[in-house]
Amino acid sequence: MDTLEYLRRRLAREQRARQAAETYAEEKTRALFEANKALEEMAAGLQVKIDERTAELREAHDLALAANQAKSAFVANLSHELRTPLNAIIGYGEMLTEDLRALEILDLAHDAQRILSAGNYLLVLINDLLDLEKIEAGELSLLLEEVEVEPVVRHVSEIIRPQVDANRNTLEVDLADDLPALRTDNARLRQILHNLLSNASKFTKDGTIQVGVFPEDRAEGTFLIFEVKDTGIGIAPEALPRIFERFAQADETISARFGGTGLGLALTRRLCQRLGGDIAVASKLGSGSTFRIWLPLEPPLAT
Amino acid sequence: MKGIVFTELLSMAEAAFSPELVEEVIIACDLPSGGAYTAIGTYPHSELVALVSELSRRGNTPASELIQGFGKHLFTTFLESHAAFFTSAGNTFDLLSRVEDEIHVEVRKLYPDAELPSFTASEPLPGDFVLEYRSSRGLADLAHGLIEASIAHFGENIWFERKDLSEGQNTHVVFTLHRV
Repeated sequence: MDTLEYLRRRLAREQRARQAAETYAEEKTRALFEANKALEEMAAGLQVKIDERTAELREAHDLALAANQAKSAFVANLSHELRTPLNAIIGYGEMLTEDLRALEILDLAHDAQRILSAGNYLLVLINDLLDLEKIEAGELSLLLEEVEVEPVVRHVSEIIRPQVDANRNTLEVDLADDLPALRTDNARLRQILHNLLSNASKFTKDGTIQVGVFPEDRAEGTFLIFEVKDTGIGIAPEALPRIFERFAQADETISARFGGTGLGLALTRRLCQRLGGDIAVASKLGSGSTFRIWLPLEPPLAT
Repeated sequence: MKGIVFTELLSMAEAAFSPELVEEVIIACDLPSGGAYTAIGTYPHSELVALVSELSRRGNTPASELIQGFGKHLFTTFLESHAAFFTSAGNTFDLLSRVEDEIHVEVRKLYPDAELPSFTASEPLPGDFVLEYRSSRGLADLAHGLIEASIAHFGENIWFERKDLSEGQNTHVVFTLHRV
């Protein structure tokens, strides 16, 4: 084979090889293009689906929100309506009890007193419910003022005393020296402490209830810590996460054994949060519970 | 069989023998492809068998020697095109142990239709390395050449034995490498 013949053949081979490579490259490019297009379409389809689902979720969310608001408004109205006749029952109950006592018809006076107590208890429940709904609706207004802690704690302790004594408990109060004044809603702070002390005395028998107040410096500023510690029945670990939810008591038998609706702690937590703080609990079944709330010296919120 | 095997074989043969001889081999083989290979194409295995036996005959070189030489040539080609991989491998044992799980995986991404040999690697004792080659193509000599080239490339003191478990078919061969 001479060189010219060799080169001619070689050239022909290279040309065919090049054509084959070009065809191959073209096919691959087309396949890639098609695959790319299919992916783009799929991505676009997914985006549409995501948008649809998002819209559905938003709609469901709005519906749920509206339903909840309607319910809150209904409960608030109903509570209002309930309070009017209840106030009459309590007012006339008081009058009747006093009259019967004055007439020294003591067994009837005792019965009338029971009607009065039940009425007062019902009023507390309705007020709690109303407060809760107000907070949820963002309608609870606060009256902020400089509040000295010592008189508040002393006052609440005095009020709660009969409940503490009823279960033969000891109440110990320990306030840190030089407690700074707190800018907060006096009535709401009393309500919070009352609620915690009331719970502690309800769930403790022949034990000790300790109230402690001390300041704590945090990154966000200075807070006052209020601690209510009891030696009562305690709370089961599985119930702990739910106890600040509405209508969630530690277990269903609580209501039957101790009364209450499960509104108290939910309301307490909402109030603490409304005042710029929060509440936490540590507890061991059988050996007692410690509730701890913290409130900022200056609430960072609008009234 | 992937086109790169054919283009590299012809390029090696041109250097080892002569361009004219290669051209005569192609004519004599009367190949369906006419010998117009492109590296990215795929061609029948039978063309490789025909080319090797004709090259062996006309070049007066035993087929096994030719294929082993081709293995060394391919190693150099891969070394140029995939330098980073060889740097990261660092030694022969490491390189061979990564053929199946890394190199072939990558090859399949680019060429899903590639029919690849299987390489099972194990290191029963420190310093000993066993590579089991299995392929219906019977190209154990190619693996042989690649292993030799690898040892030379990394400058290692390794000797190896080769045992055919397929009665001379070269389709199932065990290479046992010993580091000295």
